[in-house]
Amino acid sequence: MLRFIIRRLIITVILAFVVVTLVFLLLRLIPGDPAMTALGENASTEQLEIARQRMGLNDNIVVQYYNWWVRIIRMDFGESLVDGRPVVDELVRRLPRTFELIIVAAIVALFVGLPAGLIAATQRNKMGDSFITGFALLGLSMPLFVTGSLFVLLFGVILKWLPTGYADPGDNMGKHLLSLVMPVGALAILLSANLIRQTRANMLDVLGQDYVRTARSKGLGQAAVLKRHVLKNGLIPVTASFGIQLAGLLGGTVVTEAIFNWPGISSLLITAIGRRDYTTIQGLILVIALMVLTINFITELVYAYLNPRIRYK
Amino acid sequence: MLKPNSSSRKLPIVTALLLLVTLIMAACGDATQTTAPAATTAAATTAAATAAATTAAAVTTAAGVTTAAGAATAAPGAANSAANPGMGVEPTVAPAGKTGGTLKYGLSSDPSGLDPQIHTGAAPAIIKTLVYDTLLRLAPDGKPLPWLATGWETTDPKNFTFKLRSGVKWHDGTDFTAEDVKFSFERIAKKETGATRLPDFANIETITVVDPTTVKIVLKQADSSFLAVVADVTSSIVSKKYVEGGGNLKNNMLGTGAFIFNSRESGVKIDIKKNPNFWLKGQPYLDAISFIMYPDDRARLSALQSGAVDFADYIPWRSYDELANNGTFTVYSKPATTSAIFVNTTKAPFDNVKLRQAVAAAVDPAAIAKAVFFGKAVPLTAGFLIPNTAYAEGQTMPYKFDVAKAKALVAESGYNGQEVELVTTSTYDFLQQTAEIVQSQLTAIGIKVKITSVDFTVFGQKFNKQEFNLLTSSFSAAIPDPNYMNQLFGKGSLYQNRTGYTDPKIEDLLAKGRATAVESERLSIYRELNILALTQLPIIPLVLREEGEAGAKYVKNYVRFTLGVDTNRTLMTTWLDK
Amino acid sequence: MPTSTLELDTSSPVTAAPEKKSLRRWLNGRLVLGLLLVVPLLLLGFIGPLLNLGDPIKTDPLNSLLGFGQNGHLLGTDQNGRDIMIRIVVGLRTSLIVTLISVAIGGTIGTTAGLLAGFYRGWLEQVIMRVVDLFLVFPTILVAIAVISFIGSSLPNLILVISLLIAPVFARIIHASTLVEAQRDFIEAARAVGDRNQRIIIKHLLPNVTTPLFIELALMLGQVVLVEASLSFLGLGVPPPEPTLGNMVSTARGYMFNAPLMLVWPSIVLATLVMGFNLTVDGLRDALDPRVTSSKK
Repeated sequence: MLRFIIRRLIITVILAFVVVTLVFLLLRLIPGDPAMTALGENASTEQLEIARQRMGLNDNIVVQYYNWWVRIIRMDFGESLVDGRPVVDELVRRLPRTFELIIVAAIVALFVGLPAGLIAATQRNKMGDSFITGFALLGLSMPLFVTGSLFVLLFGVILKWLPTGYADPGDNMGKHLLSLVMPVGALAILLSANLIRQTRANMLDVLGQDYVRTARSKGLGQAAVLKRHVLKNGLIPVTASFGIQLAGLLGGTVVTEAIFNWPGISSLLITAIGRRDYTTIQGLILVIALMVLTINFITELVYAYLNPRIRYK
Repeated sequence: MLKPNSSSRKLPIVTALLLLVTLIMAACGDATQTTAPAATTAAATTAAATAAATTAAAVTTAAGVTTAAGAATAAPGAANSAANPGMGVEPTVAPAGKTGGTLKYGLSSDPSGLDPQIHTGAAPAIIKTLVYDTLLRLAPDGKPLPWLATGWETTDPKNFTFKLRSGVKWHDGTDFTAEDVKFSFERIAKKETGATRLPDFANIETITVVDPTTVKIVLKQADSSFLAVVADVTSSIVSKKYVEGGGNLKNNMLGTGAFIFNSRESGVKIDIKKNPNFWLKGQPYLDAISFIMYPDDRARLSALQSGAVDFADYIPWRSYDELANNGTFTVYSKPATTSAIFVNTTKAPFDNVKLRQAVAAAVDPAAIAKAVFFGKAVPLTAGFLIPNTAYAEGQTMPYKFDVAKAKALVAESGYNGQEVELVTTSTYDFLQQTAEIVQSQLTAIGIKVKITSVDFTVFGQKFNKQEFNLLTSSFSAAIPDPNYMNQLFGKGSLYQNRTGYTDPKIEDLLAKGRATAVESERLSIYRELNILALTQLPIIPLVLREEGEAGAKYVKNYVRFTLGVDTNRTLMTTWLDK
Repeated sequence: MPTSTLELDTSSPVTAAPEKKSLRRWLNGRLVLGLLLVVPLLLLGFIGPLLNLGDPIKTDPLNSLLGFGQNGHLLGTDQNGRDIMIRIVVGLRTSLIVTLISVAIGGTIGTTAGLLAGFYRGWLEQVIMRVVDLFLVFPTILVAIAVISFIGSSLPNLILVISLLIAPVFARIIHASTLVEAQRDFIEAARAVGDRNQRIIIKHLLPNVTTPLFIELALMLGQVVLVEASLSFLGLGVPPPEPTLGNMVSTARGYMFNAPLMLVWPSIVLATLVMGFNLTVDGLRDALDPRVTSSKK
């Protein structure tokens, strides 16, 4: 087990390295120019050239790449090419906001989705099942930017129950918690709808397995069968899928953050990409990559724990 | 443009004010007749319309005027007016019904940098205007007024001497002096700064500090628009001591202005607070302004409607009625910017002037005004001449929407059916929508058009590198002087580099216009230039659109001037009635 | 793990149980309802545009944002005065093409990769799964922006982007299931009998991972419709003026107050399509999976 963990850790680091290298190259390949964002659209070609020179963008790409890593190793993410602010500051400020969204939404989704999926599976084709799967279907059938906008319109503008965007916890904690409700709600609906479907399908799958029938035929009660045999096996693929989904949300809450004006890392990523702020994008992706890989890694550990047969040689 | 509701009731006041205006004009001994037509539309919201002038927004204040009785705080330059050639008319400011409080302003874009000498968009300019000062400011009629300079002298459009206000302090407590002015202007003229006004300030031959309150500037080439240039926010004065001491203007602000930069959380908000030592006593009325970023239009509107912010910029045209009809909001909007098609004249098929004329005749401005701008735009009458100025008066367009004519021109041009690329950006939906309509209308006259929609930075790059045939964008006169056209057509200028159109005749006219300060001469020069440009059409202007902000009704005293001139400074005298 | 459920697994290969497919199985509620939603939309999408209803691109700006039934436009017009009904029909086709083709491409690549990785293990698994990780680590949006801004936005490029985005998801799911299935007794049995690897994968593994595959397909078909919409929302979708359900909905969001119906119509079609896809494949899964129906309580 230890060897497995160490090996995966090494792979994780290598992968992060590869990802960041790819991003580095990609950014310099795609059109767009950070100098233009820094100087505005009215800057002359000559001014832009000077700015690029100063930003070090005219250096040999290998030199740029080397310089960037040298700084990263010293834990220095550099400054934003466009507004000159330290990238680290920005990351430290924004990461918790996105974490907050994802974690709260995940908890809500787990509390709603897992039990609902189980109920749907055990009450297959009865009222409860129809109701729950109906909800899941509805939740998955509209783009988030439409439902989100309607939420804002209803709860923010018409009823005025909830803030329409991010409220700083430093200013007013209560308001901050209220401002969490809509984005978390929107994310949680998506997550739990997926979770319900996954759980239900996998549970049904396992319920139909021979060993479950055997267990039943041995006289084990429904609850015991569920607890001892079905849950664990049924939850393996669910874990995998939920883990991937959560990891995907890092840098993937783009629409949520845009609609609910939430200044997290996804909106930072969007702004930085729009401005071609290379240093910010690179720093951000490095951090996101490390975290996603870590989550994947943990997912795999849980996976291995739940199913000893696939534990690595 | 004047909304009918507000003027009739106030007729007596208006008349009185007009009289006053005339008197002041006479006193200035200046040929401000040019503003007279504007004055007739000005009306209603002047100071005397009292603090209850909640309709401020609805009314044009092209000649906003006067230091009327009882009204207003001190006008910063009234005393020196006689000395200042070409000076404009000081707008009056209604007194605050109540001072203090924090205005929450929903802003459409987070500044990519805070350096006032680099223009990074209209939204950041609002903040920069309030924190920094310029030597001059512009009156609503577009003429210069004293600001950090109390007066100026100019013998010809090459020599300018500015007398500076004394006792002005930077936000860090140090004294503002002529050295700061010299440093600031030289900073703009340095290529390394990346300043937007580089072309204007690179024209400075010498800049001399005569004494701590006097600066003398000699230009290489005469430039009759120099005073207007100096009044633009991109000509803001920065502190020599601060910058030389390593201060970073990109992410910090240190000015002499009415508000002090307080804090910034990028992507979230920028807070500025009242400068208690502001040299213009009694201003600003507010204690603080908190600019909260809402890049998504819908989110910004929702924030305004839900009360999360009191005010918001860049209201989409389609939402004007939604806000105005609600009764709790006022939309402040004035014609400001010209939507246009930019043409790459260096590449076939649009190196052919006939085909450019065909495009101009094929696109229906009325259709664009309706569908894209919901009627908050008007077809152009004077082309490149600045609307509502003497230059534009009585002018007509040499072409009009005429499909048959357009088809004939296409035939004449010998267009071979090649597909042309119309570049637009998905970042601004109205540019993309304009492109869709233009494409459809060009298809109707047989020009095959492919739309390329890219994000804004790629859009800018394609524009600069001439990777387009046609491109939808906008232009406006950043300074209310016809010499702004230099930026559109002057050799080596920004847009000339993009459209690739050169014309010795246009060059000649531009140089003549810059060199003279005589209004009547300039009038005919620029009118001739305009017609020439409208015939050659490297840029095809479509409609003059409004730009607007909106605020809750309790936000008082904010005024949107035509062409946006000096609008941002009215936030200094904005107050909250709540 | 003392309680490992696999101890109980003494079953024979599942593939060997082709049960009688009674009509009853196929008439399950979900499948019927799903088909009732999807089939008409498929017909509308693929036949509708052939009916020559009118030009979905030609603008008529002076008649923009017309309401229900005005000026002969049954569902009104959009912000450029284009007939919304015609655009929905044509947009539906584009959305269907994007969805079906990218799910087919992405699903095939992902499933193949997942099967190979799960069956062969070793270095092949490492390579495949690490590439998959790489894709999953890359923020979707950056992939989309990079690809689109590098090769331009067009229908084929959009399909490419979406395929790239979904292939790794399939790979992971199928890989996970393959790992479990590959260790079951019947695979060992097949090996013992001397079946070739290729045959084992196709004949024994693939049929046993159909459940997760179908679930994923169900989710994907629906999700891709939504992904297309989200990419449009971010300005990365099918370029204008070509209609798709996604770009119609995302544009209409801006006109929520001016013309609410402009948002309602394409949204209904979009939601129906997504729901129909999800229901259909749910139903199919129930009908196809031999185990589920037998456990009917």
